Amino acid sequence: MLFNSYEFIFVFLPITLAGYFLIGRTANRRMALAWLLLASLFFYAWWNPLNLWLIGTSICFNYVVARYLIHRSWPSARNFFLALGVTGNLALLGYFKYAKFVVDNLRAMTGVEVHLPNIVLPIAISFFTFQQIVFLVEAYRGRAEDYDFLHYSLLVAFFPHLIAGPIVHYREMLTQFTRPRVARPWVSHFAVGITIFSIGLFKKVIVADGMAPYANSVFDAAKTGISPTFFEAWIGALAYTFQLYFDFSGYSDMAIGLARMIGIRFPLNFDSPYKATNIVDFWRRWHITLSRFLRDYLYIPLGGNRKGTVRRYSNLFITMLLGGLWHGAGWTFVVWGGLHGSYLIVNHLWQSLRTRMGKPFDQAMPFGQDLARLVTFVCVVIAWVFFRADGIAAASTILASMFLHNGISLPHRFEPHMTEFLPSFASEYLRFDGMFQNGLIDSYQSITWLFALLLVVWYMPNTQQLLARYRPALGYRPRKVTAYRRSWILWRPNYVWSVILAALGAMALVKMWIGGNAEFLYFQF
Amino acid sequence: MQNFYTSNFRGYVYRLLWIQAALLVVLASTSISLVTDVVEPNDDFISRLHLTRNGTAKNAAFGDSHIVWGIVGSPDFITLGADGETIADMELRVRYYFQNKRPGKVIIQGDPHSFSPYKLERGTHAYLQDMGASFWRRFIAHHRQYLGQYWRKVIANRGLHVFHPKHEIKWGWVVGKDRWSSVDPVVRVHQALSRVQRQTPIEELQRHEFAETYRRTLSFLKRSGAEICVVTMPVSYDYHMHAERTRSTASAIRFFQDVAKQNDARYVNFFGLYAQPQFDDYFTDEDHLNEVGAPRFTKKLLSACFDRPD
Repeated sequence: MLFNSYEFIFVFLPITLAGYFLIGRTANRRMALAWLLLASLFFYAWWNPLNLWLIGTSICFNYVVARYLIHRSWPSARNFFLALGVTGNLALLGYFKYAKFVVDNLRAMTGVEVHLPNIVLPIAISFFTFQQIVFLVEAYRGRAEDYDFLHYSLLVAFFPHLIAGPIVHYREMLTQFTRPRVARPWVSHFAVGITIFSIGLFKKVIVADGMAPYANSVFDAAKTGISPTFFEAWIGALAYTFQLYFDFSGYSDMAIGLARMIGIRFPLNFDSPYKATNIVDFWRRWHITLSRFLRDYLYIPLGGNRKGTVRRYSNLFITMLLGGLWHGAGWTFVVWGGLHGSYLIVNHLWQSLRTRMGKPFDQAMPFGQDLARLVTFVCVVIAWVFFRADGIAAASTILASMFLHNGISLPHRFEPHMTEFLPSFASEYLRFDGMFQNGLIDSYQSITWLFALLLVVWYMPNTQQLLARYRPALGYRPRKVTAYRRSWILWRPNYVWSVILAALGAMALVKMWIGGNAEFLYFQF
Repeated sequence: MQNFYTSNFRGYVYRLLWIQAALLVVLASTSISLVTDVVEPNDDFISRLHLTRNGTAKNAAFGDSHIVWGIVGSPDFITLGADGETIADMELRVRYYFQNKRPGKVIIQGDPHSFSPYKLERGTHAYLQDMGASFWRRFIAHHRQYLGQYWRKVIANRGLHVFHPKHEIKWGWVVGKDRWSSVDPVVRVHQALSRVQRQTPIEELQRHEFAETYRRTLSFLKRSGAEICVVTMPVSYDYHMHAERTRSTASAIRFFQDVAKQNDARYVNFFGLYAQPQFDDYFTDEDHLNEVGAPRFTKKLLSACFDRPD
């Protein structure tokens, strides 16, 4: 069941909320949480009921191992159980997500044929596996308390974050589930929740799904060997850049909004990443909970920055490479992770160089911030080409076109005005055969949309900033609001905002009815 | 006292939900009105649907655009089909039209391009699967996907007078106004070649499920007592020149011939009937007859199909 589907919005959600608050009011807290767990499992089973055994087994296995780690103090047994738990989780993920990739590459390299059954990746497996590894590690470190099975199951299966995150930390969630006032309806929570959910729904259904055709036509053409023109390639890459942004940010808003309706706050997962002025900053804003996981449970255990510069950079690179592989079993994801690893290394080297020289880069020249943001954005767009493309060859085709391999073709009508001013060497790169020769993009409208979206992602406040007065997410620092001093732009529960939100929600609901509902991109990871 | 900008969570939630519900109701009612009053009366698909539902003639011709552009319909002999329809679509239309009436003379299209990949991959049109559907079912199954386009058109043109029938249709016949002969000869060659490439039938079409569908359609008509005529429609000189070179086209024609024979139907091959440059004036494009060619062809076809040999 998708968040952006009628069955979810008009059937599942009202029934779940009504049941939760009703049980919370008439029976007791635990019963209400049990209802929430039941609803979450139903939500998960909607895709494929057979997957229930998978998540059920995973929860039971991890709960038993975690309890052992919490209650026993014999070090070698604890080591053994931690290894067992982590290996068990990784083996499950490895089988479903990476077995085919490994076998295919083995076959390509050695010619050895290994027959695998047809493996279908169960939805959400990457998310609930990581979440449980965190709990095991924390239990091993002696930081996790002994929570009961109901709370633990709900931590893992809670429907707002189950499918595509945020990857919540047990501390953030379990303390909220065990609060005495949980399961009590709060109209303020509901108002904030429905607002965040509506914004997310609009981002996903109107903006992200609206960008999808532009991106798909270019990437699909590249897959079949068609070489897009310079403009087609850039439009395709930028369209995907915005599609992914609004898809994921929309999903995160919807997840945060849903949890908030229930009275639960999620950690922030997305904080205007395209406003980042360097790659380090980008990773503090994009999929924040995954970055946190990779930092705390991979980069730091690898040694982090404690073992010298070379080890630090190699740790960074390995972390990003594995982060790439987490997104999907394919070489394009490895390249994407490798690229970001390289960006981060270059970024750190540059920062240390600038620190030695005196001023930071963004303060060294006029418009330094804007230039830094632009450079970061272009690097991110280049990496997204690998993330989206169906294979390295398709990505190379698009990147070649983006970087003038096929030259630039402008509309016919420019020819008379430009030819006399052009230096002779430019004629090698410049033609006048039309901007969209392959017909992959059908109108100039796309350029207007992309430009408008660029302004939105660079200069508009994000959802959390709009709702900063009402603590929309855990750990969100309201000081960031100071950038938007004009208070009228910040959300408050008044007439104006109810009209705006009603209109955004209505537009999304109508678009869903007309155009069907597309899955969130992050569901595939 | 609460003013326009005062915060109130409960009031906010109620207002948001009420305004949203009101917006949806307004949008739904205006959309329904737009479809019933403006779109449907000008929709070629719907007019063909009405003809299929309400037609009383026992004699009819069935097929895709080749048939509906090429055979002149009349009250006694209507033309039923639509652009882009497939063999599966044709079966649905035939069965629906003759579900409550005994067929008389029936012309069935037997064109090689019915087995081209783009036709074989195309899904059946939603409204053909449910031709007896009420307006509401049609609204959801057919108009729903185009609602955004309808509204965009209305908004872009700032008025409701922007919907016109795409073509003039008489008893199912689409009156083609253009002249293929007026197109530049070089362009004609290229366009025809490109169309032939798109419309080349697959090899071994006899094994495709559409072959079975076709056999089933003719068998149904035979059982119902129809006098069947399978026709391969004429194409222009340039189209024919490229198409006749392909082996699968010949194989497709043989298939239609065989199926017609198995069902005691007459088979008429008019594929090359107008494959001379002087007949380009009969066509609206490379493979569709126009208002000049269609009447002449219809006369010839009816005679070839249903006149008793002396």
